[in-house]
Amino acid sequence: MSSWRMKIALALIWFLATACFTIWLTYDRIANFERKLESDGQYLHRLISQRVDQHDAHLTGISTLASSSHEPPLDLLVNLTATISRFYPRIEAVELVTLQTEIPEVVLSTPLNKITGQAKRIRDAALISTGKLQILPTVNGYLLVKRSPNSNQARYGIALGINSKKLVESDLELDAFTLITLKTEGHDEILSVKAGQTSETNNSFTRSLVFQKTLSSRSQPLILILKRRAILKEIIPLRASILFAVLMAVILVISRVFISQWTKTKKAERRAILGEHEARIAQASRINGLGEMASSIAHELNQPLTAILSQSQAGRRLIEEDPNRNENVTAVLKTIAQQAKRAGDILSRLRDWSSQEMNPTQAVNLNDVAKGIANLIFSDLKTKSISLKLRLDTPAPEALCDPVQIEQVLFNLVRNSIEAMENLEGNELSISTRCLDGEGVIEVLDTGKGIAPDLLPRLLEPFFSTKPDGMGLGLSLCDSIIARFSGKLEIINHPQGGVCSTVTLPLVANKKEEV
Amino acid sequence: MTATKLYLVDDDEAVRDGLSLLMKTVGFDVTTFADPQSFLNAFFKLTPGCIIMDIRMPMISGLKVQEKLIELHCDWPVVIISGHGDINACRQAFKHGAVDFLSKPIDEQDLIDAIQKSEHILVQLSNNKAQVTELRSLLSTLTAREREVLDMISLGWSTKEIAAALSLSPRTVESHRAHLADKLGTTSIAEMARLVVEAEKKE
Repeated sequence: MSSWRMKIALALIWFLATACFTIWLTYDRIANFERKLESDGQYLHRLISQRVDQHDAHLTGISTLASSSHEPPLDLLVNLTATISRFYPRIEAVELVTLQTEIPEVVLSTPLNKITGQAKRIRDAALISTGKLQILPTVNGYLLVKRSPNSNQARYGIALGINSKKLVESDLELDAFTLITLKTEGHDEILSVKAGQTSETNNSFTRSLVFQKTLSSRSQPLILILKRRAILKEIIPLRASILFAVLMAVILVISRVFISQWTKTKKAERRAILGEHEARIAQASRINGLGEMASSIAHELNQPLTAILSQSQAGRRLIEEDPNRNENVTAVLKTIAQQAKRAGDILSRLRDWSSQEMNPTQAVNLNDVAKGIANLIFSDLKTKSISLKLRLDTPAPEALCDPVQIEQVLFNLVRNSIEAMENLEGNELSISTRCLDGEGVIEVLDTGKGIAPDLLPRLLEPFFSTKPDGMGLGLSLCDSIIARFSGKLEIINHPQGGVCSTVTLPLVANKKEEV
Repeated sequence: MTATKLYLVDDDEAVRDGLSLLMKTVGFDVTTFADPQSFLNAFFKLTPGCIIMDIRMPMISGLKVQEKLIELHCDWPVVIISGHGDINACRQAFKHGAVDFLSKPIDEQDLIDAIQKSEHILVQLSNNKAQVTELRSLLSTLTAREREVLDMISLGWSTKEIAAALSLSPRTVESHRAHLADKLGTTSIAEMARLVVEAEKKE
C-alpha cells in the first residue's frame, strides 16, 4: 500500500473514531440530562403535591373554625392564620370574606392588607364553587378559594394566597437552565416560575428536555412542567473529544510505525530468500554450462570417431580385396592415428575450457567462503530443521586458490551433508575453519547416518554415485579442483556419527611464513 | 550396370575422406561436397544418385537443404547422417522424405543398407522417367490438331462440344479421334487422360 493511501486511510480511521466517540458521548450526556430532569421532576412533583395537600388541610381547618358558630371566632382565626402564615411562608395571606352581602366584607386578612382588592374575586369564586376549590391566578401565584361551610348556604369565602415561587422551592440543585412551570387545568393560564439564576440563552442548537406531570391533588390538579434546555456547550464533550482524538492519533501513529516495521522485516526476509534463490540459480547455471559444454564436446568428438570407424572398415575391406596392396592401408592407418590425435585435442580443449572459466588463483579468506555458504543454505536449513554451527578460526585462514571454485566445492559437500540428514530429526550441520601446520582447513560435519565403509574409498571416483539419479561427477570434480590447487579432499565417517569432509589447502605464502 | 552414384555432403574433411574411401571400397561412385551450396550449384549437372548429408552444418542446416531440394523438384533419395541423435531433427528429416537417419560414428553395414534402399528408389525413378519420356515422344507424333482434340478429350468434352469449340464438323472430330486411338494405342478416354497427365508431369 502506497504511503499516501496509508496516510489517508489512517486519517479516515482517526476521524471516524473520534466522531463516533464524540457522538456517543454527546448522546450519553443528553441521556444524563434527561435522567436528572426526570428524577428532579418526580421529586418536585411529590414535594409540591404534598404541599398543595396541606393547603387543603389548612382551608378545611379555617373553614371549620369559621363556620363553627354563628359569629366567627375572630381571635382564634387570627391565631390560626398567623400560625399558618408563619410556618408556611408560601402561604402569603389568608382572607376571609363574606358572601351574603352585596359588597363582600373582608372579615379577616392576614397579614394585614396583603391581599388587596381581591375580595370580589374571592366572593365570586366562592359563590360559583360547587364544592371544589377554586384557583385564581395572581401576580405572585394563585389564590385558593374555598366556600365555608361547603354548601350552598356558604356564608364566607376563604382564600389562601399562594406564592408560586415559594411553592416550588426545594433543596434540589437544579441546573441554571431549568424552567419550572405550573399550569392550571385550563392550560392557557400559566403560572410560570423560573427556577434558576440565569436567563435562557438562545443558542442555535438547543434541545428541550421536558418533564410534565399533573400534581396528585384533586383540589389543585396543577400541571408541573420542568423544561431543560441543553445547550451545545454542555452536551458536546469538547475536552473529552480532544483527549480522545489525541489518544487515537498517538495510537495510530504507533501502530503505523509497528506495521511499517513488520512489513520491512517481511520484505527483508523475502529479499533474503530471493537472494538465496538467485545465488542457487547462479550455481546451477555454472553447472549447466558444463552440460552445454559436454553436449558440444560430444558432437565434436563424433567427427574424428566417424572418420576412424570408416577408415578402419575401409582399411579392412582393402586388405580383404587385395592383401598385398598395403600402401592404401598405410594411408588408412595414418589417417586413423591423426583422427585419434584430433579427438585428444578436443578433449584437452575441454580441459582448458574448464580452467578458463575460472578466476586466477588468489588469496581466499576461508571464513568468508564458509559464511557465504551459510547464507546460501540458511533458509533451506530452517525448513529442514537442521541447526547450523559455524566455528571459524581467528585469524581467518587464507588459502591460495580460486574463490569461486572453492565455493563450489564447499557447496557440493554441504549439499551432500544436508541430503544425508534430510529425513532425520535433531540434526546439526557444522562448518569449521582452522589453520593447521601451514595449511588452511575447512571441515563439514553432519549428523547423518554416514557412508557404508566399503563405499568410502570409491566416493571420489568419477561417475560413482550413491544417489539413484546421481551423475557421480560432483565429488570427483571437487577432488580435481582441490588437487589443482595442491590441496587435499578427504571424506571419512566421523567416530561420533555422520560424515566428515575435510578440504585442506595451502595457505597464502606470507601467511605460511608467519605460521 | 554402372556404379550407383553417391553424393556426400559433410563439412568435416576427415569424415568426407573416411566415408568416401569406405564407400569406394564397397564399389560406389562417390562425389564429395564440403558444403550444401556447392552441391546445389552442381545439382543440375549431376545424374541421379543417392544424397548422403550431415544434418548440422555451418551456414545452412541439412533440413533446410532438404527443403531446397524439394523446391527444385529433386526426388533423389536422401540419407541423413548426424553427430547428435536429436529425435526432433530425425522426425523432421523423415517428414521431408529422408530414406534413413544414421548416427555418427557410422557403421559400414548401416550405410550400405541405406544405400541399397536408395538404389531401389533410384531404379524406380529412372523407370518412371523412362516412361514419361516414352509418353512424350508418343505425344510428339501427334499433329497439332490431334493434340488439341486430345486435350479436350482428357477434359471430358464430348465430340459435339469439341466440334463447336474448334469450329469443326463432328465428323472431322471423329476422324481425329480415330487417329488418336491408333497412335496412342487405346480408345479409353480415361487412359488418354492419364497419358496426358503423366506426360505433363514436371521433371
